[in-house]
Amino acid sequence: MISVSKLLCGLDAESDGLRYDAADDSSREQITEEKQQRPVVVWNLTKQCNLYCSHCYAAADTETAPGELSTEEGKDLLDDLADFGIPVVLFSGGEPMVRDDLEELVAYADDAGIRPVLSTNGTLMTEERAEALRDAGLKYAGVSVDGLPARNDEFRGEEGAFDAAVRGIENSLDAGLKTGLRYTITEANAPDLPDVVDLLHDVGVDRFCFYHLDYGGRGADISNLDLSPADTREAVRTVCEMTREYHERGEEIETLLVGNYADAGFLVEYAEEELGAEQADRIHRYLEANGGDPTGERIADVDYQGNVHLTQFWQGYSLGNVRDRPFSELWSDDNNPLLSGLRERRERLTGKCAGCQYQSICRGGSRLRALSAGGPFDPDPKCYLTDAERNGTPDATGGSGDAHAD
Amino acid sequence: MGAFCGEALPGDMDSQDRTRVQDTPRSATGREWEVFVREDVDGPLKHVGSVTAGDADGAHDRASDLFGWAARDVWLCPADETRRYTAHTLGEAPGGESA
Repeated sequence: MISVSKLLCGLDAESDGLRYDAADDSSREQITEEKQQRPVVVWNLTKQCNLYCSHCYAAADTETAPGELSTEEGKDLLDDLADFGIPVVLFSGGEPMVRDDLEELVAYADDAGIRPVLSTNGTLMTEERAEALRDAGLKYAGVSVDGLPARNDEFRGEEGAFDAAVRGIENSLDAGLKTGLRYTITEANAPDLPDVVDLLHDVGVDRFCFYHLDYGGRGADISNLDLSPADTREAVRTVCEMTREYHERGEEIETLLVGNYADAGFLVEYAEEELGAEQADRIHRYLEANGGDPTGERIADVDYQGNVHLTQFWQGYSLGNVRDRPFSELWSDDNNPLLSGLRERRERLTGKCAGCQYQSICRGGSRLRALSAGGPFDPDPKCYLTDAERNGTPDATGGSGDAHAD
Repeated sequence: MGAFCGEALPGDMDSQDRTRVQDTPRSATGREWEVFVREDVDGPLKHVGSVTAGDADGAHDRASDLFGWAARDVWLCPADETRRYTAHTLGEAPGGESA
């Protein structure tokens, strides 16, 4: 997760300490004052969802699936996560709000010293539940919207889903919960991005997370709808320009990019071009502290049955199950060669990643997309940097290099 | 890490100290296969997790994608044919029935 607003506009946020080891520099209260040592854990509470989104990584269904962790099992899991030093648990799904023990689990996590945050489609966020979640200690609600109304509703398989999500956002904001947008960028909805930000900013949202499509769950089925490298580059540039325009108007928004660490190299190149070498160096230093793609280190996933995954998108492989072994033991098992290899991937990355000047701030990008193209240490097929950018050589075209993106 | 509920000392365990982990399907999108790999000819066969695949050949392909760079041998067991017993309990007092 890369904070564009932090890097380009110096906008502080509560989670900068997690991402950039920047707590000392921040005027905001920070989640941690030390560089993140343990992963943020996504917990898919349920496979059930009241919507049926075409890009769902969890392949959620409208019916519940057998074997969900019970409330008591969940509390034991949270105890283990707290003892292990997990900083944040992201309650996700399916749609986590279909579980009526969500507030109880949020409160338990908060009491245990883990920051509880929520990923939801927003359609079930009534005034009452928003207030209950606030009272339980929820620190943040990220609401998924993937386009202007017609496009979003088509994506989500339900007419009226956009309006219902906006009502949920308003209820969440009215309850005093920090509330943000989650937006998965595809070829279909990339043109809507600025208008959706403007529309939701008018509603009161000031945090916007933009996800690149990863190839897990139903997301793998629509990989043909992923943006081309040139269009990805353009979408990321749009996020950068939009963030700076808001900043210049004095309307601060927090913008983040998730799921493609080619963005890190692009941001340095963008800063060099737009802000100068000094700012580009500063941004590079922050991104080195961030550490690049977090697979196997700074992100983990526990699914509705307790299977532990390398990321929330990588549901096709599990390290083990928390009913057999505590999460802390599975995550610390040095006998797993894949886990160890991912953590020491610098010498293993192949192809264009091997000699890339941005390897230290990217670390090869999505390992799941790399797997879809070959193996766990192959290049991310969605790297959109040019050869000139990767090699640190002058671009022969003198332009943005889009024509060379591969 | 602090003591986790239900933990027992390995040397003291016999069969009644372990409970069977529930056997509901591990995946709702395909069959789950437990994966074991041996990295060196004289090394141990190690459990390294599970993959989702429709059949054994597919599971071998998935496991090879993940571990081909490290594994000499790969063994695959259908998760629904694997009985798992553990002294670790989650969500229950020690001695309680398996979930």
